[in-house]
Amino acid sequence: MTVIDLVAAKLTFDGHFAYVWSAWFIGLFMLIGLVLASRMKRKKLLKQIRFDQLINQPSISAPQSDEEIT
Amino acid sequence: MIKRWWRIFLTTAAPEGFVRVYGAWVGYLAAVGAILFGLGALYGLFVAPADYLQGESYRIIYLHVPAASLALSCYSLLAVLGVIFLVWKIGAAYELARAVAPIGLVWAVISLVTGAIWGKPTWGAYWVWDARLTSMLILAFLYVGVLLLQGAFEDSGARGKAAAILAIVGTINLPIIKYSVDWFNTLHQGSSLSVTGNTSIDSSMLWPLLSAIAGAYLLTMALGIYRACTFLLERHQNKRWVGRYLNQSEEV
Repeated sequence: MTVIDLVAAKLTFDGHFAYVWSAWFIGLFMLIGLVLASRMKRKKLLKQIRFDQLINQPSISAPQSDEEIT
Repeated sequence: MIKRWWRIFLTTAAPEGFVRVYGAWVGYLAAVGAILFGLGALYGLFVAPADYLQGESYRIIYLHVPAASLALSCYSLLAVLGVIFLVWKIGAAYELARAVAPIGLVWAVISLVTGAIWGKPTWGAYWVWDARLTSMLILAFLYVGVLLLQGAFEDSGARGKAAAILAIVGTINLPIIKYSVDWFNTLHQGSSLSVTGNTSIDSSMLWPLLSAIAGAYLLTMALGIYRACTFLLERHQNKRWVGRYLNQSEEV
């Protein structure tokens, strides 16, 4: 029995591979999906907050009159 | 001692304290959780021996049991947070409940789906209207109800109250799920794990399972805190502390 045969035997789970792999795939897919959705929401929010901060911060504007220059 | 813990609780119950104190733990919790869950899963899938009765299909247990356990734990947490919100009106409790509810729903659905897939080779059917399966399905519906109520009203106080009440009322389903295999004649096997020591599972299968469960709990804690911090930042985005926090943190 070669190494490939041994690995194949392990991965096929004695003919139950469809059940075992599909259960794990669906479960991990849902978990990773939730993590990515949470991450995307956070990134979008932080981007928006930083943008709002940039807009609302006191800007360096040109002096309005000659007195201000002195 | 109690005063000290109470002070810590009050500090972290405030939005800024929650985000600063618990937010700093997210990375560590996620890293340790991923390692434990990964080790448990890999050992359970490829190293642990096959079950004498069910053969190889039992390896779904390493996802199914953590998922079911967390679905129940997240709902218990929702109820506790509901009580905290109703009694003390702490906003962080509501935001944490908003963060935890979808995670609990995902674990409940994973538990139902993996259980159905496991049921086919073991019982010959994907679904039976058995007490354990039906009560678990009701739990998933309760999660959906809580999530719907959390987004139902304009007023955030009314949303929080309604969702908290449903979460508290729904706890009646938790002992039914837990003891359904003892109270009713069911296809579902009895508990393999027990805190009191009557664990019927062999140690070569038990340790990877415990590792996967511990890892899944830590990952859930990390994700719950992460999502709650996001909701708190969103809610208080016009407050000065949010600006200070973002300037200090290196997060994008």
